[in-house]
Amino acid sequence: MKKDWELTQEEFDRLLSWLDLDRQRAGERFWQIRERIVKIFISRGCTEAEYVFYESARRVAQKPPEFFTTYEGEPARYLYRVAQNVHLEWLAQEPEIGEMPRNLTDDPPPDKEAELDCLEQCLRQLETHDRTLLERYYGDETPTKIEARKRLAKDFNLSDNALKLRVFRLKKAVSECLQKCLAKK
Amino acid sequence: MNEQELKQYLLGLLSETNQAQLDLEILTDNENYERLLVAEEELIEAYLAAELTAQEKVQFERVFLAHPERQEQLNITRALKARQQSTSTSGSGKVAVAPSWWEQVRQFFLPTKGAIGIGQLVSAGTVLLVLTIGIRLYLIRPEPQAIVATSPYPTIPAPSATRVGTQTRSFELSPGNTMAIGNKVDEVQLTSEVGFVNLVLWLNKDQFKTYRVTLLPYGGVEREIQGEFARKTSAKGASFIEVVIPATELAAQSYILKVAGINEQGERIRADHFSFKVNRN
Repeated sequence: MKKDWELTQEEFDRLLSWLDLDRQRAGERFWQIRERIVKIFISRGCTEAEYVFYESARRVAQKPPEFFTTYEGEPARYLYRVAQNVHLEWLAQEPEIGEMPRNLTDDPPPDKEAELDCLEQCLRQLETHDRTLLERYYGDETPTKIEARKRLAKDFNLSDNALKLRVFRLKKAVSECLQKCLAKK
Repeated sequence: MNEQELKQYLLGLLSETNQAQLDLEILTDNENYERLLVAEEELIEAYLAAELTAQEKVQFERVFLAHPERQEQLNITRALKARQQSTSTSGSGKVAVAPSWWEQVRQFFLPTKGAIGIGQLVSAGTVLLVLTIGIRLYLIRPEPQAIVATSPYPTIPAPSATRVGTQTRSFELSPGNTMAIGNKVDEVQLTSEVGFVNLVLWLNKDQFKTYRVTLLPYGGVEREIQGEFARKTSAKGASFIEVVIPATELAAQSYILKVAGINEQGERIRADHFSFKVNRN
C-alpha cells in the first residue's frame, strides 16, 4: 500500500510539540512511540506496520491546531487508537492472499557466501565483549544450553531476561549491518 | 502479563480484548515492552528447536513471520546458530565419516583452512542452493495471485441438522465499509438465544456464480466458512449471497468478511469485503 504521508514542516513541528515541548525529548518520544506501535502491529501479523504508524502520525499531525491545545491525555494512546483504525482499513485492503512479501520476492536469491562474509565482518565490528557474549549465547546447542546460558548471564552480571534483551539488541545491530553490507556487494 | 500470554499475543491467539489490553501495556510500560522483545527471542528459539505445537507452528509462520523484520530476526538467529555450531565442531578430532548433507552445509560454513577443493565447493554449493531455496520457499509460502478453490484456511463448519430448533437471526451487510473514524460500520447484535447468524451480503462484484467467504477477526486468525455460496438476486435485481455462521464462532469484536468469486477455472478472485462489529448482550 503506497500513500503519500509527507507532512509540512509546520504539521511536523506541531506533532512534535504535542509530544514534548523540548525538541530533543520530543524526537526521542516520537521514535519510541513509533518503535512500539510498529511492534504492536507487527505482532498482529501486519506486513506494513510502518505504514500504519506513519499514516496515523500524518492524520494526527493534520488535525486542526485547536486539537493540540485542548487534547488531554497521553499522546501515545491517542496515536495507538488512530493506528487501530488505520490497521483495520489496511486489513480490508491488504494485498490479495498469496501475494508474497515484496522485499523477498523481488530480491535475487541470496548469495550465501557473501552473507557469511558479511556476517563475519559485522561480528568483528562489535565490541569484543559483545561479540563474545553473542558467540557464547549461540555456542551451546546441547541439552545443557539452559545451564550454559545461566552461566553466561552470571559471567556478564546480567539477569536471564537482561541477557536475552542484550542478545536481541546485538542481533538487531548485526542484522542492520548485514543488510548494509549485502547491499554493497 | 505472563510468558504464556505474551506467547499467545505474538502468535495472534489472544482475544481482541486481551490483545488490546496487552497493546496498551506494551505501549506505555518500558518493562513490558522489553518483556515482549525477550518473548520474541524465546519464540524464535522454540521454533528453531521444533518445540512449538502444530497450531503454534502454523501461527508462527502465518502471523509471527508475516513482517520482513521478523523474517530477518529468524534468519540472523539461524545464521548465528549455524556459525557457532560450525565453529564448535571444527577440530573436534572426530573419526571421519562420509558427510551427510547437513555436514556438507556445516563444512561450507567453516572458516577456510587453506584452499577448498572445487568438488567440495560445488557439492556444498549445490546443497546450499537447494537448502536456501527450500528454506525460502518454506518461509514465504508462495501462493499464486488467484488461488484454486481448495481452502488454505482453517474452516468454520457449515451448520448441520442441529440448526433445527435453534434461533437464527439475519443481518444485512454492505460492502466496502471500513472502520475509519466517522464511518458507519454494520453492527450485529447477538443474544445468548441466537444459535446461528444469517448474513446477507450485498455484492458489488456480482459476475460470479459462486463465492467463497473467509472471516477475519480483528487481530486474529482468518478462517474459511465451509462451503460455496451461490449468488442470488433480489426482487429489485440486486445480487447477494447468504452465509450462515454458528453464533459460537462470533465473539463481541470487529470482523472483516472477505468474499472471493470462483471463476470458471475454479480460481478465487477477490470480490468484496464487509466490515462489521458484533455486540453481545
